[in-house]
Amino acid sequence: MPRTKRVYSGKTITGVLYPVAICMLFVAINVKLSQPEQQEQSKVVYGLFHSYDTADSGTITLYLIGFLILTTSLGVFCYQMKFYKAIKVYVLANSIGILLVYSVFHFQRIAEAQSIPVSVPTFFFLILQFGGLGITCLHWKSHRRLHQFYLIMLAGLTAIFILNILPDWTVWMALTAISFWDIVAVLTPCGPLKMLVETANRRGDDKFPAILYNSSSYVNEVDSPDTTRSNSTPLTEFNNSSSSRLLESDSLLRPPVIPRQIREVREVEGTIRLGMGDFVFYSLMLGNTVQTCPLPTVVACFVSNLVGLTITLPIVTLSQTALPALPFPLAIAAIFYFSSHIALTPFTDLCTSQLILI
Amino acid sequence: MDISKLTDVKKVDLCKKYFLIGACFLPLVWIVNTFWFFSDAFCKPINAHRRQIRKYVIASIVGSIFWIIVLSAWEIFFQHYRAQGLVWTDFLTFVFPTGRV
Repeated sequence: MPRTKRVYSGKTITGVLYPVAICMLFVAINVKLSQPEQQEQSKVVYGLFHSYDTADSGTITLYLIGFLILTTSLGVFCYQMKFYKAIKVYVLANSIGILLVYSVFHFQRIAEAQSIPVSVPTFFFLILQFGGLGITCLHWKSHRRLHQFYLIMLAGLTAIFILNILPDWTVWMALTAISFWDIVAVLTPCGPLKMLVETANRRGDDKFPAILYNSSSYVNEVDSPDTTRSNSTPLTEFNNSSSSRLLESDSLLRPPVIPRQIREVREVEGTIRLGMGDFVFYSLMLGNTVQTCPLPTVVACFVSNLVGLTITLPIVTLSQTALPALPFPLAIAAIFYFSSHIALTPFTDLCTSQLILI
Repeated sequence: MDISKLTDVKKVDLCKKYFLIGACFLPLVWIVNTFWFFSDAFCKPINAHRRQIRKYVIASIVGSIFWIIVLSAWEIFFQHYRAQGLVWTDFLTFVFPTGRV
């Protein structure tokens, strides 16, 4: 049997970068829209109060990581025990919770911030349109672009939801902890996501294609959060955010391609499968930056995140194994964030006050 | 999914189901149905199946226009009387503009 070697072309990389960029832009724009100008001062005060309460931040981060580990392990357990119906019900409940319930709160906040008078019938009718079409697209047949659009909406709304729960610096603590959990879950032998990938590969001829064939959004949405389950506990995703799905044959964003054979090494144009959790955490990082920093820092984080994602792909090619997709992008984004926060913004302010950058 | 690979029978069935879903107060689904099957309904040679698709697409267009008119009329009506400060408009206002006590 010829050994299969996966390669990734520029087209494949852009196929991943575009939706990630769109999701981050969506979250950034929505965070900016739902942030009234007058309340920025009170936001800063709130941030100052919570920023330095490390005990509180640590507690929230621990809750977040605990919930993440619990949901990931439960998801893998259900998959291994073939509790497919449980996974489907969970995914459906999450979609309804985000697209219908949380959309009301989010768009209400935007309407209030932008001072748009809306009547009750019109508002709920439009939310019904958005949620109804979304559920139809995600769990039944729909156009590919529309399906991808609603996956991005789902991830974006999830990120906005988490963003409104966590104080400022908790976001960075949470992202750091989640990155480490991502590494543990994917690269260690007993990691749940590694077990998930191995189980899926072993069952390649059985249930996995059946699930994908019937409705690929089921498996793709396993990493959706549950907004209706908890009251105050911060909610997050299954950490399928790893690139454990990078090497799976079914593509969320791209159709399968024909393999090309070169001597005894078969080069297969790999299709990249990015978990929805990755979208959420990238958007979470950028949304937090929009809330707390001026535009140059936001742009720096945005570009560095995409660069980090681009760096992950050659490493996947070289190692020919699944890799977590969070550490590189978030590490590079953190470097740019804090360097901009410490150096660039004071420099720009100084130049402005000295009337140099007119 | 890509409908260009479906048979005509399955296209008709999918278009019909989308139309029925849109009938549950979801005109946005009708709009999607219109854009999705427009080329099959009007830009290809006619046959029995395409005639059915055309029927469903036209029904979706009519239904969408109806809902757009209803929604626009209601919103114009409501904003007019809300600006006049009638009492019943306060109960039906979901978001009050800035400055209103």
